Amino acid sequence: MIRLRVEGLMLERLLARAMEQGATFARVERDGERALTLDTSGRGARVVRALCERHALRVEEVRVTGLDAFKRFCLRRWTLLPGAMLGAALLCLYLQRIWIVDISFVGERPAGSSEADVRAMVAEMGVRPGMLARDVDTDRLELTLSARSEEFSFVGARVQGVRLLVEVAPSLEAPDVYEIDAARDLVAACDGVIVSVNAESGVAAVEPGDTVRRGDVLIRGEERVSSEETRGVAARGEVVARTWVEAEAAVSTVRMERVYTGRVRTGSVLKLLSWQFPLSPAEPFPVCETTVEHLPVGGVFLPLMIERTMYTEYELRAVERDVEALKAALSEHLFTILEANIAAEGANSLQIVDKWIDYSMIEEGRLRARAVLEVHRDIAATREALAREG
Amino acid sequence: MKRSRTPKQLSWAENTARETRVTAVGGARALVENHLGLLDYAPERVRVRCRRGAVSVCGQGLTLREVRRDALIVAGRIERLEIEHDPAAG
Repeated sequence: MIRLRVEGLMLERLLARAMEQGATFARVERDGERALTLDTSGRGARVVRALCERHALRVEEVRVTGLDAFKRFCLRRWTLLPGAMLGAALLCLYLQRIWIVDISFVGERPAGSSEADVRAMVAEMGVRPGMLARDVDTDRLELTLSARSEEFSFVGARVQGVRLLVEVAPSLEAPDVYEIDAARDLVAACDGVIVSVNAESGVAAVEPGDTVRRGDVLIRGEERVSSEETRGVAARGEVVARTWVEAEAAVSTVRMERVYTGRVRTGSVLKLLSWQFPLSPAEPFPVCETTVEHLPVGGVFLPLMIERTMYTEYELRAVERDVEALKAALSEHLFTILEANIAAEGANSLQIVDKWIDYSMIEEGRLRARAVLEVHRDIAATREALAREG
Repeated sequence: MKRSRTPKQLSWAENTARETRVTAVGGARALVENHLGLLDYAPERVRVRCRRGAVSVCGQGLTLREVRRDALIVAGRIERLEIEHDPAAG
């Protein structure tokens, strides 16, 4: 839509002539005694302009909107359309290829394989960023990766847009296999006081309330066949005991604080790259804080500047810390560590029943904390497992 | 439900002679059909030529919308319509 302003006499006749020649007007408004404002299409504007020229009327274009404005914009920027088409073509080409290869481990990460190893295996198969997405055979990729490493129980590969996602799940650890008739004992994995004994096979060698050391037999691997004869079996069962884990830490109760004496020296040099000229030299204090400030002189293009160095003298003074706050921080830190260690061992077989912390001053200005967690856990283990742990 | 119908006597008569017809909708718009050209336009008066004379739409702040060869809409505050008969036109 084009808005025109026409000035002159007998403008009604101009409108009638324009309509006879096929022009239409969306809006006509009187804009003074001798002026009209017209909203018309591109064709109507051409007709009105021709009539105005013929009858020596003054016409001016006020505003262009809508499709006409878009047409003019396109004509003014004729490179826009080819550019947009080129962009679209490049985008199509870009989207037809994979540019990102992501390796994702599902569940627990296998110890023997890293992301880089899997990425190297994928690269060896010729799958690399930049290749056509239709050339990526995900089925072959899955089968080959599964075949190449026994550590993977599942390998999934799929193309998501420009991304190839390879998901790898580690193979599950095989459970302990033992022969039921091969005699073996269950021994204590750590020191503790027995809380309960549940012998599924074999004979319990301890009872609740007994104190055991690491390596003591808890369930003997034997079974009575008759009143005088026994035979060896693989002992199985659960022996829950009270055990304790502890952690220690020590911190200083004194911290050093800076006390400014109020003496300040300021020196400045004129600097141009590596060349410098001293303006007001100043010596630093034996113990001081140094602040350097650069004041450009030559503007952005000339690296000429004044480098001002300020030396602020201070003294170090020992300040007592708040002991209660220190104790609280130590307590939180140590129990966090202990609980993390227990969680790493397996939360299912463990139950925290009590915890406490002791503080002591070990030397002047140092506070030591010892945190203890009491847990109930199954301490029954085979001798082989104990030997593996060391 | 019985549907009410406009009686035939009240419906528009056939306009085979293409006489000028002015349809006013409230006091804000008037559709002028079958006119023969714009004679005079001012914010207070729009006058169009028709076969037997002229038709004027009078009011305040009048503007023209959708101006075509045989029809136009007058918008604004319409106060009255005037029909001028030209005896020479018959």
